[in-house]
Parts: sequence; C-alpha cells; structure tokens
Amino acid sequence: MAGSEHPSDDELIARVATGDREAFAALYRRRRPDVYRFALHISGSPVVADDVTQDVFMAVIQDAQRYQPGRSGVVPWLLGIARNHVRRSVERERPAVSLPDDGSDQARTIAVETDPLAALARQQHVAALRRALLALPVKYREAVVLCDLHELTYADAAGALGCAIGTVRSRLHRGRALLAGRLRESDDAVFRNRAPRWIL
Amino acid sequence: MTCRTVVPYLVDLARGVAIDPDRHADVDRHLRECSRCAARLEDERAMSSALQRLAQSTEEPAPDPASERAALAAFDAAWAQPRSHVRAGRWLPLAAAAVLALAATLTWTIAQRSKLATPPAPLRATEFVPWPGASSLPTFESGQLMRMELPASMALSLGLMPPASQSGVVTADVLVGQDGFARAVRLAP
Repeated sequence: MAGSEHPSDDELIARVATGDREAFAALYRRRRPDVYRFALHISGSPVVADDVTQDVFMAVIQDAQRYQPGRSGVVPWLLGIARNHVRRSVERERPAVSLPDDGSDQARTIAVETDPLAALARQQHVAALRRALLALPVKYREAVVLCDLHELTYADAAGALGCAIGTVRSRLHRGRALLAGRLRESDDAVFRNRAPRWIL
Repeated sequence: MTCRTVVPYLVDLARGVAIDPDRHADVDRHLRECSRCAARLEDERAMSSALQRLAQSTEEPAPDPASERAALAAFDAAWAQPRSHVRAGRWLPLAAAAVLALAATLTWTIAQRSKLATPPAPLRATEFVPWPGASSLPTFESGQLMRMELPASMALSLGLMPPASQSGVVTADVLVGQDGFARAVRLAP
C-alpha cells in the first residue's frame, strides 16, 4: 500500500484540488480497491462498500484542497473518510450482509490444496474469522482491519481514526484477543472432531 | 521482565513491528524462560497469519466503468461551477467573526420563527437568502464566500431546505462582508 507509484498519491491529490480530471481518474482507479475493501471488511456488505466508495470520492472532489500532505498519507486519509461513511451507513440503514461463505465460488478459488480436507478446513476457518471480525464492536474491528488487513502503521491508523497511537494499539490488542476467543468457540462448534486449534 | 510487562510486546512481535532493541533482548530472554508467554506469542503469530489469509481471500472489486463515469461526471459538474477558495490565513479573522455572527443570529432567528404561527415555506436550495438581521448592517461593499458545514436543522431555520440526502449536516456558502458580518447564505451546489 505504500505510495511508490508515479505520480504519487500526494501529487494526484494536489492536482485534483486544482481541477485536474485525469488526476482524479487516476486516483479513483488506483485507490478505489483500497476503499472498497476497507468498507467491505467493516460493513460486511458489498452494497454498502460500493456506496461508501462512491461517497468517499465525492468527498475527495469537494475536499481535496483540505488534504495536508505532511499529516498522513492519502490512503489513511481516504480510509478515514470511508470510516465515517461506513459508520453512518451501517447505523442508518441495513444490517450487515454476510460475505460469500464456505460454499461460494470465491471461497472455492481461495485455497488450492492437494488435501481437500485441509482446504475445506482453511476455507471454514477464513469464513469463521470473517464472521468473528464482523461481530467485533466497531472500534476494535476498525483497528484490526486497518492494522492487520490493510497493514497500516500505527501512526497511519491513528490518522485514519482520529485518535492517539496508544489508542490504536490498545484497540488492536483487545480486538485480536476478542477474535481469538470467538474463534476458539467456533473451533468447538465446527471442528470438534477434527482440529484442535483455530490456527491456520 | 514479568509476564505482565512482556504481553504488550507480543502483538508487535507477531506482526513484525520493530520494538525497542533494548527491550527486545529482555523480551527474548523472558520468552526463552516462560513457556506460557512463548505459547501466547505463537497464538498471536497464528492470528496474524489468519488475518493475512483473510485479507488475501477478500475479492478485489471488479473494474466498474459505470461507477467511474458517475464519479467523473460529478467531478466535471463540481468544476463547472465557480468555486470559492478560502485562504485560511487571510480570512481567519473574518471566519471567526462569521461564526460568532452565526451563533448570535441563530438565536435571534429561532426566537423570531417561534413567534410565527405558520413558518414561511423554505426556499429552493442554492438560492441565496438574506442572513437574519443583515438588513440592519452597514452597506455591503465587498465580501467573500465561505463554505462551511451547518446542522441541517440550522439550515431550515435560515429558510433553506436541505436535500433529503443531507440529513445530518449540510454544506453552505455564507457571504461574509468586508466587516466580517454575514449577509446571505445558500446551500452549497
């Protein structure tokens, strides 16, 4: 996710702020997947993720000149906007819809394994982890998604969430502990006769 | 180090985050001697692996030409209209004055509106409406448009009808005179 592309995200945002249409198109194509995946991880709903992604880029059109390059990166800035929209959307509208689960085409393509049982176990573990993540309180979910799924630094995650680095760390620790607890419970339910631990 | 002081470092170690080199040696020493903390570190590493797998399993959104066209159309529309550029340094005192005027006149507006049995119908968005009390101010000579966010309820009290999509906060352009007092307001296009 680091900005090694040329032109950089910072350059694109600066050009967007001056009305450069091509820069906006380039930024949209480059960062739409990041915003979409973040919104999907937090909301669990592809519909919400689509809506939020568009909302974020509408905000970019309006607020590109407010972006401050030295403060945080473009991706944390975008994800911070997305975070606010996801929260609003989830609170206002619909309950989270489950992502594709064990039996979907997507899940079937995830693991290419020679051992079908191991492949099935891994798919089920990923699905269980996804459910457990969506069940986390949102403040912990945000920290886990930003730090562990999007691999943001603590500082960038703090920028996206608008809180202190120490807060991000403590939420991440707590979130992972809650996830581990839920996964152990799911082990008991799903893998009672086959797998002693949830470890992938 | 004790188990209690080591635990905060375990997530960082599992995630590959650099920790203080001096502390690192102490943590390593503790982990060699404490099987419980060593097992916990392995659990944290397993959690990191599981989360990486989850990240990899999440599908990338397919390219969506329709959404991209819509975004570009919104960009074109936004830049087809005149935009107000606020220079923070130059206009900061005026902004502060405008905010003060906003608070004062809001109180006045609410008091006036509460006296009316039937409030006037809100005007169409994007039309400028006079700022409450602006008619009693000195002659308007020059000014600046200032874009700010207002509670939707405040927009209504000013006589502006926010679109349904803007339920909580609306963006408004406030015309601020050379003396720092607001003269008119509209919903931002």
